[in-house]
Amino acid sequence: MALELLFNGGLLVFFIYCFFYIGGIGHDPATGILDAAEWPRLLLGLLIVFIAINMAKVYKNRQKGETFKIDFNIKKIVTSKLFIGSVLLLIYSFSLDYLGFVFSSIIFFMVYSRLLGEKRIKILVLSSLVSVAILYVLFNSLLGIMLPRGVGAFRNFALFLESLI
Amino acid sequence: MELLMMGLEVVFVPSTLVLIFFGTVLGVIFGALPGVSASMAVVLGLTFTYGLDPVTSIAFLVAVYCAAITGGGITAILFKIPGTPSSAPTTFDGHPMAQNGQPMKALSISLFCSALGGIAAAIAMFLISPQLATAALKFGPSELFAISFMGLSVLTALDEGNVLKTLISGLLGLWLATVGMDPIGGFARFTWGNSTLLSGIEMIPVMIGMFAITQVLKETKERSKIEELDEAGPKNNTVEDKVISMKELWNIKGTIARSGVMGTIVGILPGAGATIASFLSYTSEVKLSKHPETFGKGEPRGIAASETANNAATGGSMVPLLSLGIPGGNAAAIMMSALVMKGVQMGPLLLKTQPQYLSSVFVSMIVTNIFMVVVSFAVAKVFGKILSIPYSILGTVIILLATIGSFALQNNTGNVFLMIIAGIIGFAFSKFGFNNAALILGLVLGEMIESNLRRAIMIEQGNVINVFTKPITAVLMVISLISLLWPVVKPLISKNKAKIAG
Repeated sequence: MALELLFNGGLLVFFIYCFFYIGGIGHDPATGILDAAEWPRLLLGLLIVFIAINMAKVYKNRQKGETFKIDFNIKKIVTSKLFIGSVLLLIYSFSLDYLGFVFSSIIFFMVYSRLLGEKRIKILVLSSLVSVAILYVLFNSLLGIMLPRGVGAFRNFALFLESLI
Repeated sequence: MELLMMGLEVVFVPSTLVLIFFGTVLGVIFGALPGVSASMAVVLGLTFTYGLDPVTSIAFLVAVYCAAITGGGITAILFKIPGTPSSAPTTFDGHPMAQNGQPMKALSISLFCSALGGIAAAIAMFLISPQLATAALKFGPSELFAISFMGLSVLTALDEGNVLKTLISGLLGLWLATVGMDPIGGFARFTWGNSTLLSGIEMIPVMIGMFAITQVLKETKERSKIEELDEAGPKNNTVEDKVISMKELWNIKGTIARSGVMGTIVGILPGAGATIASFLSYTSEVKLSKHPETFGKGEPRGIAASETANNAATGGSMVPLLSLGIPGGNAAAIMMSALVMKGVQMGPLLLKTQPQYLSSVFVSMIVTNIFMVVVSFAVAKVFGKILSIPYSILGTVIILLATIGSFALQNNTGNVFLMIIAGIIGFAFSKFGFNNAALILGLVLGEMIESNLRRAIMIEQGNVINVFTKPITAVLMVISLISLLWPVVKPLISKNKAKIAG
């Protein structure tokens, strides 16, 4: 209950902020009664009301004796597979620009498959190499879809691969 | 009849038939690959048309287009990654059915219904093309707003037990669609000075993130609990998995007929397209069903509605292209540019001076839809084999495919980041009972709803009553409001009845 209320509360604060922020625009008199700011404000207004109702509903439906207490065990959170998986995904998305598709995907593949339960090192290495090679040839070479090349030596390697296939 | 003979003469030439078959294979494979949308498939197919005459070119491109829309359903069912945006509703029931041990049944429903939808739309296109195009021209912004609002009205049916959270999700999707430059005045909204946000939030990475990445994250979390059970094999492996029988197909004839008609009509409207058609059709079926609670859990009608409608929309989108020279969507615009490149004068005179275009498109659509069933089964079997790979490998392959799909959109890693954020938020959303599908629906329809509503109000110089009292708009709005409010009112009525009875 506490976590859900916190999540809804976060959304509520964000939407209230957005309601007043909108962006660097002024009133647009040419568009009649519904201008560029009023449409999103209408949506945000409804969102604010509905989220407030939802929070009240969550609070009302709480189990007997349930208190507003969050078990904030940092060690438990940081070591959970979900947290590690999310962090890995974020690191992978950032690494694409620097390491390029081939290197970042091979490393990511091995680490994430390990996280999903594959313990055999041979399978991890082989499957990552084969999968990345198939996807690279299919998309980059056959379909002509450019994949991230990375920078420096990684870019040179990607260019070398492209010239090979 | 003369027109039909003309089409048969053009298409039933060995070289053209081989080309249509090749286009079908190409389209199904492209459509099945995440990140290669139907439009991209048509672009990739363009290269093959350089040496062809205009009539054969359009027959080939139509084959690629129709087959790509069908191919999109394969990955939607097997991996919960919609190959094309219009296959997103196919994931709602197709993936649960595959997870329940019936991937072949789900795929066969998808393929047969796609073919039936495509053939029905081709016949409709051939018979009523000029008349319908004229009617669609009468649709102004207010009618288009009402049509897109109708698409949104199904929000409350997506999860009847959780209407409030579904509405919040839909509204959030609509709000996300407002990020970037506004469609009328070009004002920047919610960009926080970031130039990347000016072009708005890309729909495809969000869609891939909310469906594919969220699913992998769920599995990542669950795996820590069920690792010991992993060796026991796939879930529900005792369920018999067979291709759908004629009897079962006959049982869903109503869904196929309704979705075919709806898909064709929506396809004709410029700007609407296959995505809106499949969402609209899916949710209408949920509303009409006596057992809406079975949807989202592997209901055959859910797959049939989405796949029939998105394929029917392909035929519909050819109507304004051939009759008026107005492309109904991205893929139609690409086909149009290919024909213009070959010196064909598009516009209302095309059908009068060169009727062979309509007839060859018609016959090639029929032939493609027949080829497609065979080709798609072969492709699906190859993709189906992938399901036997352990999830520890498959899950990561899904992430890589999703990454390529998001990156390929604009050759931009920013979209990969967006996909991952959408995936993480999608996970939190589903954990707290919000509805990812409703959010996607809002995002898909958001721009169309806003731009048409604001245009309609501008045309009426601020008089909102005039906007909503136009006959077509009023009828569509009343239907939409009834269908939006019914799931909210229905429990109250039953509660009242129970009270009176008690």
